[in-house]
Amino acid sequence: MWTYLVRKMISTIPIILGVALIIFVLFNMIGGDPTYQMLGKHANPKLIAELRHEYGFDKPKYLQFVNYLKQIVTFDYGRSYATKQKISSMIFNGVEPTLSVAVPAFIITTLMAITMGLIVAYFRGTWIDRIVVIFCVIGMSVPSLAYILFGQYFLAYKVGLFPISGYESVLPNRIEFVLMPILIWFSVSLGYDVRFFRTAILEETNQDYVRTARAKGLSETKVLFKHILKNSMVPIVTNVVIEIPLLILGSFLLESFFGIPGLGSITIDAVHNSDFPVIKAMATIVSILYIFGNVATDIIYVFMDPRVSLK
Amino acid sequence: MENEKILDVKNLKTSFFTEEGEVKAVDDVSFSVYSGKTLGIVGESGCGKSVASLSIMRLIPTPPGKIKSSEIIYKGKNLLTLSSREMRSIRGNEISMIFQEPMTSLNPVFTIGNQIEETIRLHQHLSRNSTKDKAIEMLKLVGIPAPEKRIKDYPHQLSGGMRQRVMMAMALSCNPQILIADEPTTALDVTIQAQILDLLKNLQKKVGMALILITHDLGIIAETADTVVVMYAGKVVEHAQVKEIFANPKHPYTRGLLNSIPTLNKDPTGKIKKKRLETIPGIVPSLLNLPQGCRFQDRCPYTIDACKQKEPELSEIASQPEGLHLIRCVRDI
Repeated sequence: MWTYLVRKMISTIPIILGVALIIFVLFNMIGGDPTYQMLGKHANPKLIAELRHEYGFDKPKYLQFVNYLKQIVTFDYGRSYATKQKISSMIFNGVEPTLSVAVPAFIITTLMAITMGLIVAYFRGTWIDRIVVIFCVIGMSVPSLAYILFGQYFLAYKVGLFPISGYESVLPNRIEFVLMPILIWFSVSLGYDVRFFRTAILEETNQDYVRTARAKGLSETKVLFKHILKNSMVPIVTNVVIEIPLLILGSFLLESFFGIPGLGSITIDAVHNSDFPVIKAMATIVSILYIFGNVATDIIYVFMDPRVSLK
Repeated sequence: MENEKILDVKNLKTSFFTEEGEVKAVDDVSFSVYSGKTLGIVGESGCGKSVASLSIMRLIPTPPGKIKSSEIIYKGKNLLTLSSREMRSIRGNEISMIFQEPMTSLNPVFTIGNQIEETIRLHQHLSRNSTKDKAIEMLKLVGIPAPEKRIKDYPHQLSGGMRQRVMMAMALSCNPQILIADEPTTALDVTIQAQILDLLKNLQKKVGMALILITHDLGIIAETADTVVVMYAGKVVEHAQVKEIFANPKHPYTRGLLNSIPTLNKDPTGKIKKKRLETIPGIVPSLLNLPQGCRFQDRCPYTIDACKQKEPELSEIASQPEGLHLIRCVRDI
């Protein structure tokens, strides 16, 4: 188990290097020279040279790449062009607001979707199944922007159930600000998840072992909740675990519309301001987390499926 | 006990309702099963033999399938009118079934011990330890070496033949009155086939259960069955004792099946005579588009005009030294 884990971790190094190279090429070679943008159209060449020296753009590319790798290892991505803050502390400050929306939303959505997936699979082919699927498709088809506008205009402005936007870092006060983003997150992703889980479960219902379980005299609920569920957990868990690292990014739209100072907002602002180091840091961090998420899924398989062994 | 009529299937009609129309997979099939005896059901793929057996278990997926009209009398009760709870207490307990696909019929994520014990726990109320002992005993009975260790194995750790033995252990764990074996050896290689068949025969003798053996292999029928039902396109075409079928096949389809078994005859000099293998020309007609009259007419070498007029009834034929002999054919050949 531990040797497997260590080997798996080592195997992520070349992937991370590859990702780093791609990001580096995109930002430092294709992306153009940010100093022109920072100093405006009629910049003084001397000033440009100074700034290029300050940010190290005058150094050879390979040294810049080594410097970027050093940033990844030390988690010190330098300072933002726009706010001049340290990027690492910007990220640390953004994690909590993001997660206070993303984590509850993700947990509620996932639990609800698995439950509904099972119910729908149990009633497959009946009108209950059809109605739920229709609502799922409707839920998936409405863009999240529509939910946001509806929520802010009707639920917040007209009815006054929630504040329109804003954020409070003191905990009990924070809750009222994150409720509506959580609700919208839930509405947007539930349909997709229910349909995915329903398919994963139904795919198992036609397997031969299900017929065997019925031939034993087991009840339909026992067949579904014991035999089918454990088998369909493999695709379900993959889908769920792979999403976890991406939670840190939050939702760009939700955070910027509701004024939540999380990582999603930080990234969107950075894009607006062409704040290259911040975008680069976010791209790097999310890629690395995604790679680790994949490793985590591989390890979880072992507990889900006896046919997978760690060797 | 011996020779008691234990299951009586009367006029079984099972259909599947598809977009193209009603597929009558089993159309008016009747047969009886006697305890301690083996009924063989033979036919090509798609002739309805598996559907007939799944109908007895009431395991036809509904929709699209439906048992339209029939009586399946087991110990004086009509299985088709039982509640699903009553039917569940019969399935796996009094009537159990093993399937064609040993590789996929066991649940991959539970140990074989767990899966056998599940059946025992469901139908027999034993203590935890005796449930486990019973499972080990069953594995021993079906010839799995070191059952105490094997019980912790997952299906993927066993070969196909071993998995079929596990299926048998599971099916027999509650001492069923009837075992339905749906092509139990088709997916296995020949040596394992023989072992599994021997095992089935021995266990049948030991337990005294009735066996419904579904196969397309006449060799297996000759070795195992007492009575044979030959099915074609959803109908019974011939029904007789096994000796009678092989000695005196009456229906052209049965004859065709028997002729299409490869033989190795030696000529007087000891050389093997190479004889061209006979086949039945043509293919089984689509159940959605059956010809008027006899269903076998397009492939039958004896077809006359009468065959195309009206579907022949299943009727008893005169000479019958070996008991009941029914055929569905207008010709006397």
